[in-house]
Amino acid sequence: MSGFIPQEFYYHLHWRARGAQPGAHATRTPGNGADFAGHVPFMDNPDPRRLDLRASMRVIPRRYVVRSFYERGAIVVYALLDVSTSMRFAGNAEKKRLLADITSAIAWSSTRHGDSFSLLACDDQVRQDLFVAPSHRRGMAQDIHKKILGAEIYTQRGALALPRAIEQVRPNRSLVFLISDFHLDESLLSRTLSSFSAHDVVPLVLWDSSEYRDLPDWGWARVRDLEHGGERSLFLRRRLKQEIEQSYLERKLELKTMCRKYGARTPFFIEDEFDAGLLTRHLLEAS
Amino acid sequence: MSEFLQNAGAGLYAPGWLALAILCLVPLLVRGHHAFPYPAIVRLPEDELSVWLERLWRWAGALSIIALAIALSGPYWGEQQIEKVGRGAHIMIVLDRSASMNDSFADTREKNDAEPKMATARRVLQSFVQQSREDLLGMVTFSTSPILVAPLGGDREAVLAALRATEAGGMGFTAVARGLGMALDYFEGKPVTGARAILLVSDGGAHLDVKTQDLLREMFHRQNASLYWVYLRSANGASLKDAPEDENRDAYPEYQLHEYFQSLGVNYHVYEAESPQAVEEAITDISKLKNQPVKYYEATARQDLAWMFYLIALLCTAALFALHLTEVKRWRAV
Repeated sequence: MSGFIPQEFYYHLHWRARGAQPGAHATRTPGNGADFAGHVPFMDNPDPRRLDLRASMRVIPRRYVVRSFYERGAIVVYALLDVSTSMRFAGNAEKKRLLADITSAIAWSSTRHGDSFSLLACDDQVRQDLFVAPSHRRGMAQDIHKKILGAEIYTQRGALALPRAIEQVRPNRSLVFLISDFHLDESLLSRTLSSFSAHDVVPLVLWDSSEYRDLPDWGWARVRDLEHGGERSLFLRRRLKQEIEQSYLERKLELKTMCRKYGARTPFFIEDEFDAGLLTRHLLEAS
Repeated sequence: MSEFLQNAGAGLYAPGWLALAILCLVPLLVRGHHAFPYPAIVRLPEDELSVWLERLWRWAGALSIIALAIALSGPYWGEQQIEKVGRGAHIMIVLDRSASMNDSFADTREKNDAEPKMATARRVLQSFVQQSREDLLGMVTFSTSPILVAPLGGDREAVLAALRATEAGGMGFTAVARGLGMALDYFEGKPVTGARAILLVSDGGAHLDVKTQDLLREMFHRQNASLYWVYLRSANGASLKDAPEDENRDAYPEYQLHEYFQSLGVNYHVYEAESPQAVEEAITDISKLKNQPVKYYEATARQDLAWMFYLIALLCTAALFALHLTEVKRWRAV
């Protein structure tokens, strides 16, 4: 697996992490970083190199003050995968492969940033066989890619365990990538988002273009629900195609509203192909 | 409803095939057909037209199976027993065409307008055929051997044409027995829906041996046919009224035949005609005699309804095929 290098993206936190692990992110831990925290009396931080004479002249009563800094720290990046049966769907792209690509890119990027990475996967149970504890060892991204490709997505499974995955997340605020097709019940989605509301959740929405955009132009088709086994008859024509597209657009808006409501970041929609550059832009600019 | 069906005479020819109709549940219940997997149909709108198309698809399949099962079981309607009163009779005309028929009648006072017996018989029979409306007629001519010219039926034109054909003139001998035998044969297997009569028009007799006599008697009894003999007496022919001397019996085959017919035990009338007028009178008499009404039941032809169900099945299958043609084969934009 040495030749395979996952795509790399960059992320930035809008909050200060807590933790002693040295890393690239701003933390609340005082230390020797470059982030200026404030002036403190000399005796609180007796470091003559940080002595600020101009500030010392301004304080009353007169005394020596020194500049204090925050430490740069590391966080744990979690990838929370929805491996319900609907993720077996393969249209113009195979969702499972996409899942593996994205997860290994997250693992790769986070370890390159000095953060630890941990993998959680849920269907109706938390999938312990796919669990990877927080770690920043080398070669993990490639291992995870292989692991997800080899993993079995069982039939007739929902994603009911998603809210319970919080039990395996450390209490410190972390960056959580929630990767799913978001074909979830409203209640399940709101429970998931609220249970993870203490963390910085980045929803990644995997939709295939053949789900709503790249439909046959005309003809009668029957579709079977992967998860619940229901069936629907569709006589595809221009009006129905517009309705389907409209329904997905509405879902998009609904997801955005919902994520905003629960304090998650704006969802990032991935269609057919994962482009790390776009994700970087989304993470650095849009949210 | 069932009473109405019974009155309409509806029924099934082979109801066992109806068991196949149970197969109509297959298209209604089975869900084995091809469907594209989709992550979440909740996202798809419920489309009225598509839902009805699905229902049409299922019901067309069920209906075509039901229609086929019914069609296989052979439905019909309209079989009814209709009571009919038959006024007509079944008459086989047995016409003698032997050479002697070309002679004129016994009672010929004016020799110049003497009409051959055949011509008279033809004329009178023609008018008889044209008058009789409800009769079934048939005709056999005989001379040396019998010839069937028109089988027993309602086709008057055929009989008239046969009569016209006798203008060719007679020839040969008088084989009465074979002519009668053939005529009686044509009653065989026909329903008895009217009085049966054999109208024998001849001018002379023939010797019948004992075997033939027995055979004919047996046939007459079996067919229960009356016999009317119009005897056209020739100028030198003997009258049937006065019995000949015992020693001369063999010289008068007519009288022997008459005696045999009397001994048959069936309804028998003889009309001795010496002139064309007498023939006409005899025929008028006969046409009155035979008009005894007969009540009988007749089954009207039933109408086969299978084609209708086959048509329904065909239409349903055509609808299924049309739906199949509109089916999406690949889940891709073209």
